[in-house]
Amino acid sequence: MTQQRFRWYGRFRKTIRFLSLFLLISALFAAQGQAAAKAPAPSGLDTRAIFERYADRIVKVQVVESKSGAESIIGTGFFVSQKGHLITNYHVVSKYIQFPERYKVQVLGRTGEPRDAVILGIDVLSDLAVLKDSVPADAYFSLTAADLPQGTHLFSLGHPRNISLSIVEGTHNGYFKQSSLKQIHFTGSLNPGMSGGPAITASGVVAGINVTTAGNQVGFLVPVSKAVDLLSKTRLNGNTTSPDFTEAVRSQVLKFQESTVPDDLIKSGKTVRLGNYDLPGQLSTLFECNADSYVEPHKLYETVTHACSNKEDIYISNSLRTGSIKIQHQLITTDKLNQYRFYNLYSEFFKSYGGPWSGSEEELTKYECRAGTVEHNGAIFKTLFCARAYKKLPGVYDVAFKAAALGDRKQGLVTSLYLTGVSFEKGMLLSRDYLEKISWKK
Amino acid sequence: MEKIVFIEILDRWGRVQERVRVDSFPATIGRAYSNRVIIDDKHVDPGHARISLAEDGVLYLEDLNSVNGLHLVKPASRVDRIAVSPDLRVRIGQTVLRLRFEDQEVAPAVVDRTAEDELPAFATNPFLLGASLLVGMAWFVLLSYLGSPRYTELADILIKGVTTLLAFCAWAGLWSFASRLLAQRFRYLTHLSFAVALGAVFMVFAISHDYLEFVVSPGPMTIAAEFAIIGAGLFFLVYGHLAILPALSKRGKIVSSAIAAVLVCAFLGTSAYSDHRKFSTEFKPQFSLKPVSKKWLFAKKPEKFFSALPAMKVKLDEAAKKKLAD
Repeated sequence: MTQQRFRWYGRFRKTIRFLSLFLLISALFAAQGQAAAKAPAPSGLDTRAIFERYADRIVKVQVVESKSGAESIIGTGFFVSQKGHLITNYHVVSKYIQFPERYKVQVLGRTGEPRDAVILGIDVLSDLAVLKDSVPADAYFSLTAADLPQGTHLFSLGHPRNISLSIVEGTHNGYFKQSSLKQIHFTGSLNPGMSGGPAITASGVVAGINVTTAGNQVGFLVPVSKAVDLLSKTRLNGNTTSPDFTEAVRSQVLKFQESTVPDDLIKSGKTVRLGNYDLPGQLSTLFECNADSYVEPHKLYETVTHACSNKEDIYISNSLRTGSIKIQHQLITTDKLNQYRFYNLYSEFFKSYGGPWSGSEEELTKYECRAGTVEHNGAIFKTLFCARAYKKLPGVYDVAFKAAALGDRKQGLVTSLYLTGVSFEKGMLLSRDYLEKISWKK
Repeated sequence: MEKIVFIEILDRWGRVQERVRVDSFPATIGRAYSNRVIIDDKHVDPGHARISLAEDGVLYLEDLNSVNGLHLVKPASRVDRIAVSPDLRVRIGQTVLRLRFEDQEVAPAVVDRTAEDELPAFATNPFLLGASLLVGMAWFVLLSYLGSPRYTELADILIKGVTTLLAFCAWAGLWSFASRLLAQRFRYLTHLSFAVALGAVFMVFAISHDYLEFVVSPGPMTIAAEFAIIGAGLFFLVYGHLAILPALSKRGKIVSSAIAAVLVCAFLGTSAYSDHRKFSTEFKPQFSLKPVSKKWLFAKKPEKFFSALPAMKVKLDEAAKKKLAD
């Protein structure tokens, strides 16, 4: 069995990957710890007064397991109407949306018992959800689509790691432009559990909603305008139970794909030169590229890697993220290896998987693949097209296209395109364009 | 005429345990050492029975008032005295005796299949065997070198070669041991060089298959070819060793080799199938890239590759629906 001969090797590599991932995550946590230790120096503003004034507008949002009543996920939410409407993150309540029969959503004020809440609307792309508490709110924030300047001092409120309500100072540091979602870069220590809490100015104007942290005082906020949009689109009255949001998630993901992955994404993108090849390069301003080279210690071979990817990262569930697009080229050259040994090396590069790692069997099918040999622009390529379907979101697929240049006995090129959360047709179209864009000159 | 009778003590499977020629009468049968025929059975009396020649020239077997008596085997009945007929079977105690005369007819000799398979001269020529061993090992070492794109020291390659050789030695040892037990022949070197030679030939086919899988994209045909190669390899391996052993008739060799090949293929097939069914978040091409000249690649136009893809969508949608229903 050809594929079995190298299996032990694959496992080994997987272990290494897991290990490095683990190290990375622990490093992040360590970095977070350090960041928390050197909290921002107290400013002139009376943080305590702000905390006291706004604390009763904030609640803890928790998703509990229906049978045991045990907490599964915690986050933060804040009142935006007198009737008890709340804003929180989609990712805080996503477990309920995925498995409504197994979980329920509750809110918890500073004092008192947990109360059941219903979800009225979601925005998967911005990572927001509108909830309604079962009792009216005593106090609330009224949201306006304010566009605050960079440098504005902000106070972020939330329940970090299930500790009691906390306030964190930080600075609005402009918009993160690499993503089509235009999140606000917040310099301050956001922590897990603060998700869904508001970041406000000293005068109580909501600037954004806490969403993620990249450690080291780098946090991100969803601009308040997104919450204003979502509130205006959501039917705020009537529903006493949460509707099924599967279709909403599906249509939002597909709509996102239509707007951010245009049909001419590859055609209109730049090219990059690697060896004798012209290859797809930076596809749009939303893509970031980097290059790397490696020389084997015994100079048996050398590789040049060029990769571009967008920064989209849409949270669908705990185990599934989508929206990312990645292209990667690897040029492998040898002087010392004979053709048989070189092609074994080349195969390893061709077989290595560089696509998304997320996903579980509940959410995705296995990859289906089709291989072929094609002639294009006078060069011959081994091509591989693979795709998998999202089980709960019909019409949404992850697609991968790989090509390896054949014929040269001293040089190889492996080029890959990984698309996530696209329609099958778009996956095919972009793969076609991708191959079309590759050209080879002697 | 002088009467001669053979008294055969049978074991519980009916095979002759001891045979006593009796030519003077009367002769006694019992557990005591004074008997003509001594039977080691605690249910037999020290003096249990006697054969005597009557005046009419007929031999009689009679019970000497024993505790457990004298019994006919067929029909089962206790007797005191019985005339000795050819092939008479009686039971005393728990021992069965068969009585036969000199003129008892016996079946012609059976041909000895194990002795028939004397090996041809080349299969036992030590120089030829040594040479095939060397060539085979050199081939394995070469393949292991070409198979690895990593930096390798000469010592690594030699160690790999020796390790492979040791594995073959152990394998041939098992067959030689079986050979020694079953057919009184050892033939170690023949078993060893046969296994190495067949292994070397198998590798040629395995490599050809890898090239085939690369040129023709993997599909039912390449999987069938893979199993055909593995199956044939196993069949010849077992058949060859059985021939060297030597054991079984030609038919027996074919049947047992086929059974071995089918069993191993079924095992490999099942494990490959369960691997194939397992969920994974990654994909891995089944084939490896090979240095093949452009004219053998049979490259098609890109349109042809892409136009076949919509079928995959149908398959994926079905898979997505099916799993949801579960």
